Amino acid sequence: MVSILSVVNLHKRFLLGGVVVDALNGVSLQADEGAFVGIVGRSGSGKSTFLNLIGGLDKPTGGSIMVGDKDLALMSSEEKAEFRRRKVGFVFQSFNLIPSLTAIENVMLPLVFGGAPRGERKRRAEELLSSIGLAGRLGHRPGELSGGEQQRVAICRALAPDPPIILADEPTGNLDTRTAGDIMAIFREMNAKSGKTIFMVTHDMRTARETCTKVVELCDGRVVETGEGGCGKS
Amino acid sequence: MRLSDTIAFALTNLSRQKLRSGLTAFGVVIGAGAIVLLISLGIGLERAILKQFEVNELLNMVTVLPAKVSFSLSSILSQSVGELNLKTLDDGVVEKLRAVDGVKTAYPDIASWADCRIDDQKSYSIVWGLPPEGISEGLLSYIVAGGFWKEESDFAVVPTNLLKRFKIDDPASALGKTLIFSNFTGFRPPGMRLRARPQDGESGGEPQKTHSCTIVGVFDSKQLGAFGDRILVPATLAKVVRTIGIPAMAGLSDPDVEGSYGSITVRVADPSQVDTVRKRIEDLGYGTFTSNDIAGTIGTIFLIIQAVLGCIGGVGMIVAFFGIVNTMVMAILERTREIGVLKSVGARDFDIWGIFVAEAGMIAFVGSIIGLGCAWGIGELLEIAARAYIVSHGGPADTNLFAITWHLALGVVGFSVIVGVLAGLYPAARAARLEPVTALRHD
Repeated sequence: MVSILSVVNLHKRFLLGGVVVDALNGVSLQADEGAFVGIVGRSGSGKSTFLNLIGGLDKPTGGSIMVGDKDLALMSSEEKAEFRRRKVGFVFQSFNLIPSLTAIENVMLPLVFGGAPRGERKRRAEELLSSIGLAGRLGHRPGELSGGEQQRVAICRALAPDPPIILADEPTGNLDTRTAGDIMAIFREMNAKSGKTIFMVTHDMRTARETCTKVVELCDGRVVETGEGGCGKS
Repeated sequence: MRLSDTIAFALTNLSRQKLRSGLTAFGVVIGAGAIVLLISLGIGLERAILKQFEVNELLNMVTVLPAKVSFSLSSILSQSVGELNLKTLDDGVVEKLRAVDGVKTAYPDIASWADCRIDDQKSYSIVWGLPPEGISEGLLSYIVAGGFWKEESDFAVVPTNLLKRFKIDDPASALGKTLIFSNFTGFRPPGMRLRARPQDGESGGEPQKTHSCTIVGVFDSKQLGAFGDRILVPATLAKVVRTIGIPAMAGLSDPDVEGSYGSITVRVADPSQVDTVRKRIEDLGYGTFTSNDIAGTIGTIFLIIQAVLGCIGGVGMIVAFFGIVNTMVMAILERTREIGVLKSVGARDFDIWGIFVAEAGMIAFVGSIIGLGCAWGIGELLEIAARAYIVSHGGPADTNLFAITWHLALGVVGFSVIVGVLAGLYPAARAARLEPVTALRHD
């Protein structure tokens, strides 16, 4: 198995109102290509901080994040933008769609920043939205879509530049149980059929155990348990 | 990110906040509009005045003065007559000038201000002496009634605008009327040197001197532009009138010296040779000036006027600048989370910067275009009013006081966009610097 991400002794320290908070306190983790990594833990355990760091949205205060042969911790802001544009796709709990843009425009957004030709962007976005059952919603704005639909648009946006890694931060947290199941199915398919490596933060231990190939439990900024998931492929 | 995408994105964002974008742009409308309106007024006035000097009759004319005088603005303001080395302009000089290569003819200018009367109406004018060789084909073509005198006697050719002042509408009806010159009591041009002897009108005791002549012709004063407001008489009569009125253009020579003239008019055979001939005359030690000198000086004066008017308009632009800064700072505060999202999908700092700078520039661009339109509209309305006023006072109906040139229009739009972009720089830099994770956490 080819290692896609290797995190060594990762630290993140915040200063919150004069109080030092160690959100991550020496986390080390290794993930292979095609893995489905579930990151679980109570709120405040450092799950989201970890996800933001490996996605290049935040800077660590110590340790290294090796993606291939490059250390994310040492990249310039320009290089990190490039990394986010090509290597990772984010899916957020609150969808984070741009309200003024239509579904298809939201999906095209990463391609716009990548400088892809107009025709190609449109074709790619249409293809993705159709494959996920939103062919009839291309021109709708987020406000006109249900929560499940919005999250599907957000997933298409994450997939648009065809990145090898998908980072999802509680993607079903704002959805009802049935819709949440649908969304999880999409993630499973992404992992199984398209071979995407997925890191998913969730507080639902049961889902994680059922879905993920690897489950990492964080507590107070440390890894307390690393185990195989239920439907392991390894 | 492509420039077209940046602009498209900025446009979408602006249209989300139509009222705020519109109000901010309105500041630019006022700023740009004021600049355009004021500068176009400056340009229009300059053109209207310069037009008065763009007369064919003046193109081959060089006026010879007793001393070299610079007509640049700074020297007019600083020169004092006493410092000049004055030469006497007499008949000998006229002969000498006639002999200069390229000169068609030369004749002394005998001009004076005098009051004049037709029937019981009184006014005043410059009375200008013309020798037979001064009656050019150009002048002949400006005649609208009668003609020039056949012999040097007490005859006068008057301009149409003088007849208007005498309420004579039909030029032909003026022919044969008696025109009586008397002591000048009109305005005194600033800087004019008066005769040493007391003015008859002012001393009160001396009797009024008068001299009468017959109107034989009328010329169209508009054709002579700035030089149209003068009564033309034979040189012999002009000398007589000069003893009644006060000499015009007497600033440089003493008219009391018998046989000396204030200036000499030289007509050049080929108008394109004016500058060459003028150089030859200056080499003889005399001063010269042509209508180009006046035009040049007027151009300089109006450049200053336009700059001042532009600065007044610019105050609105300064206010608009801060309006844009404020709007952009607000927009970034509102869209902080969105900036985080854009960064998470791969936007570079430069892309974010570009979007906000483009928004600021676009507000200014749209504002300046509307401002340009408003200035044009207001200018047209004022134009109509001004034209009605000018025509009612006997002026030409073809004035164009608000001239919006391409240079002005493009310049103002360009300037506005620069102001807008400058206003966007600081907020955009703030937006670009935002840490993605901090921005995403923002509510």
